[in-house]
Amino acid sequence: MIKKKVCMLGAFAVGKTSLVQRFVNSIFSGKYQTTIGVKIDQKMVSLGETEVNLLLWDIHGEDDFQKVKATYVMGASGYFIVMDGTRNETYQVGLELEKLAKNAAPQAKCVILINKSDLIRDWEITPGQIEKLISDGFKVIQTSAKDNLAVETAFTELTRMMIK
Amino acid sequence: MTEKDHKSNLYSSISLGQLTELRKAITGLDSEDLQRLSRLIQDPELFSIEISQLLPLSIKKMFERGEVDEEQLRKFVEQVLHQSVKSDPGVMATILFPIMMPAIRKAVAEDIKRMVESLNTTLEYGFSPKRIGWRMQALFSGRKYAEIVLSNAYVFKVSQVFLIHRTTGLLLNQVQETEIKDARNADMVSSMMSAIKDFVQDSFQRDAEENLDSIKVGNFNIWIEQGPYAIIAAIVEGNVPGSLRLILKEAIEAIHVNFSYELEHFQGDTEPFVLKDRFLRTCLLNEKKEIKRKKPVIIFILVALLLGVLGFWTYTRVETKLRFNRMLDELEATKGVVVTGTEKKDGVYSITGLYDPLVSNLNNVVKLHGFDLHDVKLNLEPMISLDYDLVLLRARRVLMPPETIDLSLKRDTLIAEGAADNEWLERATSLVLHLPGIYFFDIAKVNEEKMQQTPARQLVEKRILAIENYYFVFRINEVKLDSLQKIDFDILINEAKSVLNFRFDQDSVPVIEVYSHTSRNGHIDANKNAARLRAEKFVDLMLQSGLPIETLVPKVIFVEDEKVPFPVRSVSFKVKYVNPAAL
Ligand SMILES: Nc1nc2c(ncn2[C@@H]2O[C@H](COP(=O)(O)OP(=O)(O)O)[C@@H](O)[C@H]2O)c(=O)[nH]1
Ligand SMILES: [Mg+2]
Repeated sequence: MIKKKVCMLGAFAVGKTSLVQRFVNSIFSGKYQTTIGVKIDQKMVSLGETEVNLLLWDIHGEDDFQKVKATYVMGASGYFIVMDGTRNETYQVGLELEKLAKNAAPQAKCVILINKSDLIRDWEITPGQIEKLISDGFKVIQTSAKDNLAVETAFTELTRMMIK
Repeated sequence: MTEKDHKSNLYSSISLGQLTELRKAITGLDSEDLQRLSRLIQDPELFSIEISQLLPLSIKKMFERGEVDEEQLRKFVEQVLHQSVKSDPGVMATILFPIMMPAIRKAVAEDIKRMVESLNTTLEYGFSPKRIGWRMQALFSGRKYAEIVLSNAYVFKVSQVFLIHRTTGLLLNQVQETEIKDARNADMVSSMMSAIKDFVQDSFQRDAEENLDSIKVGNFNIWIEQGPYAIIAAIVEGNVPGSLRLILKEAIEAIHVNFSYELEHFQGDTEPFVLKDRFLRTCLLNEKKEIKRKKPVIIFILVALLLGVLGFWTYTRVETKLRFNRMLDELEATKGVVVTGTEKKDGVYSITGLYDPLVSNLNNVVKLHGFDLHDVKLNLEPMISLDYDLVLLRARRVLMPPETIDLSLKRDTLIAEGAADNEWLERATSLVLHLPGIYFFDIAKVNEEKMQQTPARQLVEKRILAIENYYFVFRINEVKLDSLQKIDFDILINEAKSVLNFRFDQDSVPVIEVYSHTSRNGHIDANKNAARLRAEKFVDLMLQSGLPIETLVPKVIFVEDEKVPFPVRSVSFKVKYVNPAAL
């Protein structure tokens, strides 16, 4: 079986935990994450005949940016940078985290998720900003953890990139 | 008397005691107070202590009077703290250490305990009669299961061993004393252990070389042995001898030597470790207790009895349900029967739906599955089915053709072939169009002067075409025929047998290529591997049905390479004639 470590990165309350929750089965209680600072879930993704077991590291805490340590990202084969479409400041935080992750895990594949697409009318992140990400070579997917839009797609896409 | 005299007189006439009285009257202080004051002023140490007692009070007063506000003070304190941390973080750390350490330690212990608990539940899935006994004992005595296990059986044991990749925290392999049902939880436990290890090492500020080597919680201990690329984590219970450490060390070394390439180039594929590793198992040690206690025989018998009854009850329920489902499957698969609903009331199943009265005795189906007609009630309403088989059957019943006539159905055309007298032909043509589902009657081949015999060769070619049209789709990593596939499979085997028995000429023999279809989507090597296994497993099935091994050739093909692709994860067939020398 193929296993991959995947990290969820992004500013506070962009929806990292919600995205993972949409997608997985968990065994650890919620209380865990508070002290250790990380919650781990897993999900089996099948691509063609390849079964990939994703171990999803979701960081917990209010000040996510401060808490991201190199050990947390190290060894990851992929990571999501999650931004909240309705809060423009999460765009910059996301990009900073991307730099940090790129440093800690240079080989890892990245997908940028702009979350809360159910609220697209209230988005502060502009189409121009998204265009910029795409022209910088990022894979960008708009998701909604709330309405379960493109969540599965996002995880499948990252998996596809990781096992290529 | 001179003035001087007078003065001295005065002095002498005022005694020391009176002087003190006087001073006190003027200043309100006695000599002790005065001495204390002068000492205070001369000794800065004392003075500062004194002031410090007053300061908080005066600050409080200043607050109350609004002379200083909290914001100002907070800014000041923060500034000082920042400065202190900047110039020498060690100082602040030393100050905070005694306050923070117990809290950190408690938090870590708490979490690890919880982790071990979930680990524990995973471990406890293991089942054996002995364990069931222990579980009962735990139930009756109110003691913890783990305690019972330990006190009953072991001085110590290593119950589970994880091999964890160091940087990713991914579980490379694991072994345990008894099979664990859902081994996938171990993946999460492994990642969590790795996260905890990092966290503990970070929080306790150990230096990078000094590694955490065990975590202890109650009777459980996680012993950790680190190598450059991988870690062994062993869950141990009881009083473990120190020699275990050496065994763990040897195991992790052996793993590093034997899997140096796989570890260095680890990309998430754990198969090599799972398939080839022998070392992890060497860590599963235990030492049994010598003393034999008297077993509570009565309890054991009771427990066994209870379990027996419980088991039998569950078994009959499950068995009945399965049997019922099989019967239902058969009914649903029967042409001319439509099941619209089932219900169970007071132990009686009732099945509602429609059936064509042409369908022969449905009650037999019920009986064949071991049900009484009191257990299963068929509430079926009659209907006319346009199913192929039934339309044909109805035609045969109504038209009553002579033995020389062969009736067949193609879409809505009934075809008659063979020889018949005109009387029958007339009757048939007038009746046929009253039959539901039939719109045309083709009698072109009735009484044809010369009946063409299909040559054997043509028959075989037809069979080959049929074989090549079959395909079976399976789930990932599974070759299991469901009931419908089983039917197809049996027909396929029959066709294959007759084709394999036939040779067109002396120079070639038939072989059946068994194609397993997979795609390039995903990890190509893994896909190929899975597909190859599927082809081989399918060939095994064919062998078991009596086809000769030399006639079966397993093959893998990517759907992207096919002109008309079969579904991914399917198996299909091609019949080829090859030179026997090439086999
Ligand atoms: N409308 C909307 N709300 C969301 C979505 N995803 C998350 N949220 C909400 O955003 C808040 C923060 O989500 P959470 O998953 O805890 O964010 P995290 O801090 O990044 O883990 C919660 O109140 C969620 O219910 C989404 O797709 N749409
Ligand atoms: Mg979260």
